[in-house]
Amino acid sequence: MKHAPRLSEQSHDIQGILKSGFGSLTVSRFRLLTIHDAKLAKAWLAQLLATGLIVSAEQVGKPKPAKEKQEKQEKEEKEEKKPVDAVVSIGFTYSGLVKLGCQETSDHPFPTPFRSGMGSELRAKLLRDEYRQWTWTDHEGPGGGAVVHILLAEWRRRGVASGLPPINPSAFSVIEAGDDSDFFDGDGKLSEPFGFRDGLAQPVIRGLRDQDGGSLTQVRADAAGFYDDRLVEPGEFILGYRNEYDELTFCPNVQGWASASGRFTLNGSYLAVRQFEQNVTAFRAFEAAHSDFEAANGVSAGEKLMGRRKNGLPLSWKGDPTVPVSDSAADAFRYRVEDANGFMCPKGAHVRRSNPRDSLGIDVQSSIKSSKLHRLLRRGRPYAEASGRQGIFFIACNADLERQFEFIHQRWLQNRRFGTLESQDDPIVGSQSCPKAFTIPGEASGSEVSLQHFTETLGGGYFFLPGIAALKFIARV
Amino acid sequence: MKLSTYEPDALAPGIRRLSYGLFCWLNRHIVVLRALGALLRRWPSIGGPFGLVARASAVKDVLTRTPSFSNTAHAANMVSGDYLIGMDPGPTYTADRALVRERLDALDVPNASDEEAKRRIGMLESGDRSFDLIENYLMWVVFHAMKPLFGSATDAVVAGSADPAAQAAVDEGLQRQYMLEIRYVAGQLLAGSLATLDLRRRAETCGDALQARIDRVTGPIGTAWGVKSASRDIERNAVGLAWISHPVTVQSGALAVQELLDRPKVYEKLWSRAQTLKDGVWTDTGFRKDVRDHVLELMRFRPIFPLLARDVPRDTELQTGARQNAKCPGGGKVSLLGIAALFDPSVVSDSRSFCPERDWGSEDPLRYLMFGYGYRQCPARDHAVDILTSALIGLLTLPRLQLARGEGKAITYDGPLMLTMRMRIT
Amino acid sequence: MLEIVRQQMICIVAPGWSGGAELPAPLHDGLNAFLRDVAVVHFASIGLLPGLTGAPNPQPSLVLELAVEEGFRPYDLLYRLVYHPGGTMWALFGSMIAPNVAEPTAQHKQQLLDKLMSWHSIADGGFVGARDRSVRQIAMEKDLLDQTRVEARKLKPKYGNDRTAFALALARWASTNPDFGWAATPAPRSYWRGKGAGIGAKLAYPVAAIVLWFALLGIVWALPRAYNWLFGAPGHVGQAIENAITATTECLFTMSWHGLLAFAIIVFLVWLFLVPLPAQFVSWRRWLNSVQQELDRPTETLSSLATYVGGWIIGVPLLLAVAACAIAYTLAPLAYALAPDYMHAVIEPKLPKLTGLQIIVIAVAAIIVVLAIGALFYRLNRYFKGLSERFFHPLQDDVPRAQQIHPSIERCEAELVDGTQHMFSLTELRGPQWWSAWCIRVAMRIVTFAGRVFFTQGWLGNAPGIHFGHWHIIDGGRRFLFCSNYDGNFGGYLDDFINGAAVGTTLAWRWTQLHPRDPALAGQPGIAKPRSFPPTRFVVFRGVKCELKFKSYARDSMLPHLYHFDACNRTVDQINLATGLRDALFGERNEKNDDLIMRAIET
Repeated sequence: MKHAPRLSEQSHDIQGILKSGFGSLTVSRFRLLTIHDAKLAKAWLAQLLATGLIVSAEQVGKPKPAKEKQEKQEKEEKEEKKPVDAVVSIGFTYSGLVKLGCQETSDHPFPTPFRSGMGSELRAKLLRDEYRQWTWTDHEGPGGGAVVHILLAEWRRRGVASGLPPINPSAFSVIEAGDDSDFFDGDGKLSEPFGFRDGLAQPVIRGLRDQDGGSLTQVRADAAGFYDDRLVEPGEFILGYRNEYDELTFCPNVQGWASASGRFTLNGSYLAVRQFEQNVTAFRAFEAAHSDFEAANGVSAGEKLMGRRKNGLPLSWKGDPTVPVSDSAADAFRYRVEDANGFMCPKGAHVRRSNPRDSLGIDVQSSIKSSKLHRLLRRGRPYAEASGRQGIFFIACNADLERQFEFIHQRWLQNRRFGTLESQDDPIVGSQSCPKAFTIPGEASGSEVSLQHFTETLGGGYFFLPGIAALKFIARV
Repeated sequence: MKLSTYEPDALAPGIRRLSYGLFCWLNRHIVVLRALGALLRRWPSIGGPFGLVARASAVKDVLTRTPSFSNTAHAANMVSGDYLIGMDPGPTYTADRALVRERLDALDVPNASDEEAKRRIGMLESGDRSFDLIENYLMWVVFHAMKPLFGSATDAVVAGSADPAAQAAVDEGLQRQYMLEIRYVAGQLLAGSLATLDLRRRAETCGDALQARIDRVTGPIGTAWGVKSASRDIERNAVGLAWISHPVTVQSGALAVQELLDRPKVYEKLWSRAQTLKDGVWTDTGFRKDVRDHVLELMRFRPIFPLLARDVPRDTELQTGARQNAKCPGGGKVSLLGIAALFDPSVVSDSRSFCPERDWGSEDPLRYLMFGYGYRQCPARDHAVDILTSALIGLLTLPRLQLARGEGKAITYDGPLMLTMRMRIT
Repeated sequence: MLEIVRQQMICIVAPGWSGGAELPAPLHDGLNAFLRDVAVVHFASIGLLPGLTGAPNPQPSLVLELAVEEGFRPYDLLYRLVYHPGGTMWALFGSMIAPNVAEPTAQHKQQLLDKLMSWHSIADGGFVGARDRSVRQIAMEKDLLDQTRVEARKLKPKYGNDRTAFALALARWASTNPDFGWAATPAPRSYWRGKGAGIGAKLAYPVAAIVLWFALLGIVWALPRAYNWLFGAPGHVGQAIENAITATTECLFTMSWHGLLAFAIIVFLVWLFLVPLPAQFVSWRRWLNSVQQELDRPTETLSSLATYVGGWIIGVPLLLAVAACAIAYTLAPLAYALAPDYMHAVIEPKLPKLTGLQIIVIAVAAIIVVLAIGALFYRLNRYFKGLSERFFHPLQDDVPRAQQIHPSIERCEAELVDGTQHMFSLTELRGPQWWSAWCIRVAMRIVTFAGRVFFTQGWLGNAPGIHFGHWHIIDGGRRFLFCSNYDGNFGGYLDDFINGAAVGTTLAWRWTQLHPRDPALAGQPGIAKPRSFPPTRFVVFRGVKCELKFKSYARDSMLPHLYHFDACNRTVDQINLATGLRDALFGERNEKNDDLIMRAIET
């Protein structure tokens, strides 16, 4: 009997994006490529690999060493490791993989959602996208849009030039989502276009922690006992490892792949990608129209929709909201006991829908356990165009599209009967026709506000993020 | 559309089955109920605190004190919407009652019942000498006698359609199906609030079906009745008339025949008289009167409602006949042992013997206690007795009858309701 | 007592479907109108079952699933459906009775009814979320909730800041609204959800049974004595009868209390090891958890294998020994009664003579030893980290064709994405089939009982959102049909099962497997490779915990529906909320009710 691969021994093969959000690389840019000529495309891929821009998790930081040595080693790491200046991550749609000559095997095919593609008609229905008018997609469908094959995400340190090999127009056509964008403030904190701190409530992969956020001891202490809420098994995001069910995540395979350590998709992940354009004017107008609400309640109506304060603190924060705290402390909260009725964070608010934490099950423990089955590792960034249009290029890493991204989208965000709500979907990304209502529960009695669309989806698709060996294989076949 | 009357069973599992089983057993073994009645009649103070009334005087008293003892006790039985029998007096009650009287006046009994009885007897004679008293005989005699209730709309009601083509397609199969449907609605009247959930649900479904059926044909019914009431009023009355008239009469008839067959001497005497009269049985008024008396006496021994309930809307006292009146708290119920009153020796002479020719004297109305008493008495009582008289005369013209024993039980029950009564012509 | 639940869920499996994979539109609409009119059907679905392998008739069977209100006997229900003037049942099934008859005669209808009765089966087990609500009640309460919301919007500016006044105004509005006269009585509740909801009512039954049993023994024992007291000393025969009765009742009496005592001790021990000891000793708690985790572990590890083997070597013999002791103790009085000499002369000398104190000391020592063993294992794992990493690291595992969904199944799910979801799953019983069928029935009855008596708030274990989930053994015990109407989506639903009701689901499904089968019709899913249910350990462990295998097993067993009817389209939570609002609006005015109203109107 052979043991399954160990995460600690595989980090050289895992793309860096799964370990880190690259908080220090503040400039980002996302490109969507459509392959015209497979041969040229492969040659270009080989070139890209040669640049070393595609870094492994190992290069981003060493996997968690033994606990007591943690702090010491971290210091050593910082001294030893050359800081990375620029990183590229690359993912492929199903049709992209096929185009590049990867044929799934009959015993280990790709999961149905990935194969059918986010753009397909069936998925449009399952994801409850009422109306689609897309510029790009991964599969022909009702939303229209160009079918793309490759997602190219690039992060750079401020002032560093792009090292991407030039893209040959006869190999690919390119759609760019925004220009080089930088939404970080002077303290290195990221805010999205509506003005909210972004990227706070991230799951922590057991055994592959992003070390951007401070030392483990500090993070644990700040989380005040809630650290385990965000600690998720690696198999929820990386294929081939133990997941929250204590089971090895299913690894599809392709023909011609031969490796002793595992199948083609080992160390890979699926990316659910959506490009949201944010209507900042409409959002500001909404907040202005409800300025009396802010005066009466101390938080703005917009913050109620989002379910968080703009500076990232939870709405139920008991301390002084102007005193800055660590990200770990800002994310250490639950709903069930303190905010069951949504007096602080409304039941239908965006963050409560996308991560209900402990609020949906029969008790705290079982709810936390079951909400860990539906977590996403968010690696998207806000983007802006020269024209002034801006939004979020949303990327979510997950290992089971159906159980994670699609579940969250269908059952939580777009569900009009989420909890016991009536005809209300997500106030920020919901697709229900507008004007629609949003209830803000209140202790004496709740109030209701009327909403417009604040975001519009411009495109979306499912991509497979291969491990580095698999990437080399793709460039070779 | 009526509102749902469905309520889940709030009694602990087992208790309902037990109480309902006991109730059915008592209904089928009427002698036990009579004995119990005799006990309570003798010592009314035993039953008083439990709201049980047995003496004839007390039963009459309760039935005539309509403001103190309300018919709303029928609420649990009215699965297809409110009707006369469960209403408190008021304008609706008065109007509905007038309408019923008018409909009953249209009946042509005993001529219509005689005619159908003759026809059916003819069919039975030519049949294979065994038949089901309810399905092959009583059901039809009563149905045809009561046809004028809906008059020209009868076929529409049976077909459940205002479409002439559907009405033209009405055959005995459809008529039978209609009668089975209303039977279970009426069955609920017998079982009342004691009924088990499945029985209640069956009654409700049938009640729903009946309502839906009538709902589609309120037009033709209105025309047949020559009234221009709101369709809601027509529907209420039509539904009520449908389920209350037919099945109850049929059950009473079956009970009467059952009692008659239990009394071979009485049967023998009546039968030989009928045989000697030959064709004259249908025309001999003396014989008809005797048969009618027999029907009433048979019904005294097996009344269809041996137990009756009334609601108590406000605190009152119950004159049970004991030295002290029993207290009746408002919101409660009283139960009347009609069967005990019918055998009360203080008003019925020689009460324990079967005596059709008994002179009831001033107590004649008590003779009809199975139809209620006083103002709220069933307005169709005479019609019903006439129909049953015709039916019985018909049966007497046949060769001797007996229950078809042998293969299984001759009488099958469904709760307190008699479903079949298989007979054999010897 | 379970039949009332089981007969709420009916499946009619009619062989010989000659139609296509879609219902004609008029029939579809006709079914909708018909089921609305009948107004007692919560959910109805139609699907096609592939023909049995080896059956002479390759045509698929039509399955009609009905989830109806409480209390109907199947015959009464089918009677109502068949004789409905719309004639829809004939339109659906007529071709299987008498082909090409558009207008059935009364005889045809009777034939249809008889056939349906022979084709129907009530659930072998099932769970109903909002069981005691009728279709009309749900619709009416929804209407009340909707209108209250509208009214609340009007009243909000006036009363918004005063909850009591707001609630009072709404209550006044509701009680003066003639449309809501029906709501004035409290929402009806069945016994186990109303009066019998407390634990006392549930305990009353076994306690009453025990008391009655002892009372019965007492009466029987006293009868001959009473006779003697009344009529004087009995004769020869009388004396013999009296002796026999006395001996029998006394023996039964002793056996009964021995049995009760043994049962009580076992219950106490189970409670001791599962509740207070884990609370007191961390190492024991962790060890206990880890044993469960190892037994449940979906991907094999050395630790899991070792625990399994350990279970067989230590756990099973230990449990059997305890059971044997209990049985021996219970049956001892019988043995003394039948063969007193043998017991005294042969058995007794072999039994150790212990004082009460000695027994207590031994028991305590045994408990300590068990705890110490648990702690030892726990510490071993901690000290030998490197070793235990190997020990606990998963072994390679291959789950072929996981995460695959047939397009027809996905289409069905997409169709119902805004409403209550539905699934049909068809599997075959594992051989020997009679044994599997028996085990399934026992397991299903337990689940049904638990659902009826204990899980009365709409949750089955920790699994929410089930409206009607039911299991049927069909085709003479060869196949197993599972139908469910639930809130959420399929994946989430199975997640709820895996996390919330694992034991019940494993018990229901572990006796089944998938055989290769052809699709019922073109475009429907078939099965290419045989598959068995994920392996279980000690009957109840593992099984559904293997998410990949379980989900792909369930997915592959699924069949699409041709038709789905949902009378109310409300989630279980919404149904409960509306009922709660009704009781709060028309109930006593107090803080709790006021708050409930406020919470209800802000949904």
